[in-house]
Amino acid sequence: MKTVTPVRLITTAMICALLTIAGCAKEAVRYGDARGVETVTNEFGSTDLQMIAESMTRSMLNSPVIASNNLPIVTVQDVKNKTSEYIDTKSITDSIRVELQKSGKVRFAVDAAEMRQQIEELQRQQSEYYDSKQSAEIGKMSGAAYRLEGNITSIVKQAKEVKDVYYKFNLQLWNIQSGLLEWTDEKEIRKTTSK
Amino acid sequence: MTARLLGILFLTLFLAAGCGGNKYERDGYAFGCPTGTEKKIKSKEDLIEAKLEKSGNVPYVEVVDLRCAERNQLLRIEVDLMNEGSDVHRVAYRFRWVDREGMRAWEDESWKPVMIYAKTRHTVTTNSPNQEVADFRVELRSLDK
Repeated sequence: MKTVTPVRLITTAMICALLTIAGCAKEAVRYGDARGVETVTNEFGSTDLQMIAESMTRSMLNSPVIASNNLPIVTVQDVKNKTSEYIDTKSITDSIRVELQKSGKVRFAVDAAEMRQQIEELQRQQSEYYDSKQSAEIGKMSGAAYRLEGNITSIVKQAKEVKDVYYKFNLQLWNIQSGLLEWTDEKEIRKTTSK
Repeated sequence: MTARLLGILFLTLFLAAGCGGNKYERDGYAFGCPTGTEKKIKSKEDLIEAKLEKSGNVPYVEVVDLRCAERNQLLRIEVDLMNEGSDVHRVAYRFRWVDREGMRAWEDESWKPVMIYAKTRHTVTTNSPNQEVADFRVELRSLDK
């Protein structure tokens, strides 16, 4: 009969313990509500983005320029991130654009970031491979009458066990020809984390 | 004498007509808000009950008033939330938009968190997202843990 040495016994016990710990640490994956209130940290999150986009859109739909039902053409410019954290502001303006487009009250002209692709496609259609009668003509693009721009700022205060973040998102609709500010609004958000 | 009696009668009828509700109310509307398929709305309480959908228990916070108006062919809604408790409470709300056929007129909105101080009224305001919206519901849930 074999005798179990103390070293072998300890090694076996350690392997068992490691296997148990590894079993406990198994990650659980679940789908969540993409529209739910997200409070994982107090950094800029999905709820903030959705609230800002919705608030700005609904406010803009009531502005005289949009409410006049003349289907104004708008181009989207940058939203400047003046906070201390990284925020994908393009994602905010994309959401605003989606909501406005779906409202059926605004049309959007190609913006500066999409211009290169637009020109490339126009030029491609001028090649010999395309039926010239069906190709998009150069020089027929519609210019926007209004431009949308804005900024997001934050004030962060931190004490020993409390972190307070205040965000202010400001959006403006400018008349390109006259240079007049046609509409502006802002949305404030305050988030506090305490340990 | 007859003229005096007729005068009193006209005055009574005039006052009774004034008490008989909002004479500017359109068919399918109650207190300025669309009634949708709900036809038995006689009071503001009925209206709130018809429009409010609570997700689970929402202690301390109640919807105490609901106002609607049409602005630029869009529905403008104000909902008064009252925190009856003696502490701060947090709730989340969102609106659900319905078209004339009772179908969903807009995708699910995001839940919007609101903090309401004790014994305080908080008004949330919104507009319908497009002109196809004919009716709405307010969804409310507690964020207190």
